[in-house]
Amino acid sequence: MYILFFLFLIGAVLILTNFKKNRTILWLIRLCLILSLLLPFFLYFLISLLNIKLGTERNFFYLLPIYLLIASYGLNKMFARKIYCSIISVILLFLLLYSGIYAIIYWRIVNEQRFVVKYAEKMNFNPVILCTKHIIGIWPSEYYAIKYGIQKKTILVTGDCMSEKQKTLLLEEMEKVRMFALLQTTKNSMLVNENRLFLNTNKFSILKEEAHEIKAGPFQAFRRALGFKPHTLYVFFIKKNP
Amino acid sequence: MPKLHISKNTFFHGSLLIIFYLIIRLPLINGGLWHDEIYNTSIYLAPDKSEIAIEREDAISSEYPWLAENFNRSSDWKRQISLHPPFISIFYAVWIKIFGDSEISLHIPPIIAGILTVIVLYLLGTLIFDKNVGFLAALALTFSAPHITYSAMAVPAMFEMCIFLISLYFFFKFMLVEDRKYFNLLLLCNAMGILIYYHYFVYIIMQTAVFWFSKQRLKITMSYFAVALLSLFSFFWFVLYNYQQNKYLLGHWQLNDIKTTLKNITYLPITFSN
Repeated sequence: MYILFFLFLIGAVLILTNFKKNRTILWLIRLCLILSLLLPFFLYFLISLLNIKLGTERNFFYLLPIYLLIASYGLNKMFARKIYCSIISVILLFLLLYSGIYAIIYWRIVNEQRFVVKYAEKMNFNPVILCTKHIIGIWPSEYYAIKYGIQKKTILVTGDCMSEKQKTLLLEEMEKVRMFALLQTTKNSMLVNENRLFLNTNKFSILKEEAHEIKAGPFQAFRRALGFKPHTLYVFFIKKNP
Repeated sequence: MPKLHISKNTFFHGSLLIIFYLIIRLPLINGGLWHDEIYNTSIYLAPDKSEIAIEREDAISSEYPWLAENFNRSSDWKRQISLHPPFISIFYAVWIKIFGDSEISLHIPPIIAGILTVIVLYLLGTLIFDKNVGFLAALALTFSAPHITYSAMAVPAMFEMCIFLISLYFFFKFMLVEDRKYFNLLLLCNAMGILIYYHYFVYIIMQTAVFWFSKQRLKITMSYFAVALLSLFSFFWFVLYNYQQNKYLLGHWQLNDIKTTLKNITYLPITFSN
């Protein structure tokens, strides 16, 4: 990324200093622009636009406008040739709209955490066990639990996956109580089955199960229209066997 | 007092960009907070919220050996500062005291920073190339998914981009116009940038290299190079120290290399969500 950015800087500085008469430098400018255009456009720009799940790319997020600037320069040059004009503009428009829509739709999923905590509050679960996907820092479910004043009851919120270490921790906590509720948000029914097996051991049995569709804001209907499965909150009421 | 002249064309482009920007971002302003946002904004504020966070101390000890001794939220700023400079967290500590910690309150600063990035990118594109390029790039940024996501997220990402673009604008303006005031504004941005993210040092290396080759034309004094060299030396020492302390070893993070990036492409488009 730094090399590409350096290439951009060289290219831009050379453009500014206006060495248009010198053929060697002109070719150097072209080389810089082509290299900066091609690699980020295909490797970073496209991926970043299309896949918002690439969280680690946040480290280089600030370079995105530079790639867009160079890409726009390239496109603007190509627009002069009318053959490419329509194709490129259609592709660009598609990419922009596609990525924009996806970003909005999936960002609403974060609301799940609030939904779970509010549900727990409404149902007055007590005791409930806390076990989030992450183990360090204040995570959303804990944060909202504190915010809505239900820190005395702990809540179990598992994501799609639970590591062996988390399962061990969970079992330790489960040993301490007689009856409890387990809440899981997911859209993967296979994982729910896996959890059912994990919970239905000799020591514990599932008394009741509930499934609530998560209302993910005003874009819920839009998501459905595009054929995406909604996330569901599964609630397992569990009893420790005598 | 010089008057600010904005042409009709620029005004039209700017208004269009801001309208598109707000249409897409405003529905997200009340979105739920996620862990990084909560952590970034409350690290200097909430010792009373630390009880839950350190419940899993045993697990933390095994995953983060260097954190094992005396770990708690209030002492975790040492780990935090090895990854990000403290400016954003301190800013949010003050912000929360004034405006509260609601989702809307925490999302307003990145949304404002996001508007600035779009406008400054337009100006930068216009300055380096022409208005068409500037507008196209700013429009692409307005609709780009990462930008939409981060502009409603209380993490340093949007502030990083904002300060980087503003400083880049002053950098090119100085190169082009050779007016000393742009150089001073650039230095101010550099000071802010260093307080916002550590990658900024790499940008300063490039900036200094360009200035070195044009020092006579731009009349850059040797004292500038001395200060730049000194700050870069301190930064490298800091990074080296962090590596020696294994502060960048965070096992559960996704690798940030080409191989992992290419692997992620194979997941498209079916695993956009988890």
